[in-house]
Amino acid sequence: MHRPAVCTIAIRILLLPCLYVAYTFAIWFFPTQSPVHVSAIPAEGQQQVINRAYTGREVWLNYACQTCHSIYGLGGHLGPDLTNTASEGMGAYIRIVVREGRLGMPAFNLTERELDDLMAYLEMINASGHYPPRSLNDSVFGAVR
Amino acid sequence: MSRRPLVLICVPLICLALSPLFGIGLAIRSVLHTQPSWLPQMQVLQPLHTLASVGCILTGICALFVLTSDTLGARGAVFVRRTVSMLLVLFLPLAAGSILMGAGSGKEYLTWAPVLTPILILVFLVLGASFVVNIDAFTRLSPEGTWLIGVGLVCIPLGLIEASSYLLPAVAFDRELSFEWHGLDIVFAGWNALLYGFGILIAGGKGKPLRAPWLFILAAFGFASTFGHHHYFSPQPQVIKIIAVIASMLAALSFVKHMRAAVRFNATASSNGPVTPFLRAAELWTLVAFASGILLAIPQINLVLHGTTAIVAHTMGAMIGVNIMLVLGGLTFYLRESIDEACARRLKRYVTWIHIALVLIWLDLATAGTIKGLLRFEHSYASYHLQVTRAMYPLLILGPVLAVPLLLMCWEIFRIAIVEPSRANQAGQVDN
Repeated sequence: MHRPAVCTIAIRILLLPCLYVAYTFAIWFFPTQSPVHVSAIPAEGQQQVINRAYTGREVWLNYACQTCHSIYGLGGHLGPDLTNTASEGMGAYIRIVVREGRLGMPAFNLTERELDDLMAYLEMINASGHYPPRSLNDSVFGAVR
Repeated sequence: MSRRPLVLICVPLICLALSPLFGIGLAIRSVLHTQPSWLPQMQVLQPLHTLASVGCILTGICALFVLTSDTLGARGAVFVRRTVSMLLVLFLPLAAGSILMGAGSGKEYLTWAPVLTPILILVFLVLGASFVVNIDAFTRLSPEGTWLIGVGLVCIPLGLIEASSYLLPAVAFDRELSFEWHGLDIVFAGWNALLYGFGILIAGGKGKPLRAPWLFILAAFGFASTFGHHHYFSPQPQVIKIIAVIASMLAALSFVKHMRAAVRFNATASSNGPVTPFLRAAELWTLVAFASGILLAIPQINLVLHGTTAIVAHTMGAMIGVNIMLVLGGLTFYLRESIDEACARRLKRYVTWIHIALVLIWLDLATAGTIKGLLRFEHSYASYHLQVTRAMYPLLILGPVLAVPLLLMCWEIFRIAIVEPSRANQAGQVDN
């Protein structure tokens, strides 16, 4: 009686990680609903823009921007969501706010290069979709801008 | 029974005592929108608060595992106790130091320097190895509790690895959030499974059989796939989002069954034991977190409430009401021989106090979240954020109202674990 119980438990324990690994591969392989639109960028500049966006992501992480700001609603709730900030012609404004601070946001001493990279990251995020929703009639599964 | 693992009992209590202190700092910063110089910056406070909360749950799990192993007379229990204590004592100060030095991950929940995550993975590998060696002993106690503990021990390292996958250059922007949140959800699923497993053991689930196969299949389906509802809007694969909706809605079946079990438990459980208030609290908040999770997964509701403090309310209810209560209940269970009637009454009072404070904070955060969710359809952030902030003013009072019973609870359990045995030792020396 006891031995079969141990076997059943072991099978149930192992089954879940197998399901987990299969599901993780599914996330990797299924096409995303709204792929990043790098095709709009001239081919010769694409890799450079992507590299700068990756460096910008490092800036985002190093300065812990996510403690106050969110991307697609995931992150802090103290400041605004920054998913589509880059699309609203706010580039110059963002640079000023980052440098000088505003309301509860402290001033950050970012270099010009770091700011450029951060903007490249936000532009890449902006190209990937649309958030927050603007109406109750918005598609519940998100939409490409 | 062998000597108490004092380090492992004290570490989660210290983490729990620090967490609300950082939380009050966060509330002050969030509500006042000023930069008082005496308070650390948000990018330090928030990761430290998260580290303390996550640290309390993870170290609490380690403590419960070691205490259970001691009770079972498990093989290698002393080695596990020493190794895990050493690794955790190494990990926590380094993690806090990395955040203070500005070298944190900049990510949610796993806020410490990513280079430290392998230490945590190693802790769970050690516990996993000990579990495999002693699976017979665990199974005799409760088959149901055993598989939950086993699943949790496998999930936490897997989730930690996946949530750190953003470090790989091959992960593109459009999938990064999916991997990060799937990984985090697996960590949450892992620690929930572990704590519910220990919950079954401390509730006296001797020989409790494995649950019915259909419930297991339902749990297995929901386990890996409900995470997608965290961000229907982000560019994750459409099929994953649809599966997440189906899995989340099917969880309603499990919710109904759980509700009936909770009612049965409340009707039959003795109200005198010091552990019962913790288990009842965990049952109640499981239902709240379960119901709010299902509601938040309904796409039309998600559209309004995702990305607001309503999600914080759901998370706080689950972490404090369920996870922390099970950790504290478990510690109380293993220290019950040192608990007298007056102490049990005090613990019960603190649990009630935490309930009330948590309900009020939950309502406040949900209200602020709903206001934000509705206003952002028509208004810009600049025009609605003051109204949302005003809705959070009660947090300035409610934060300390929740922090005080948590701190008193920590002190009470600390006193039971540390002070009482040394008094007993002194008394023993006098007698000799």
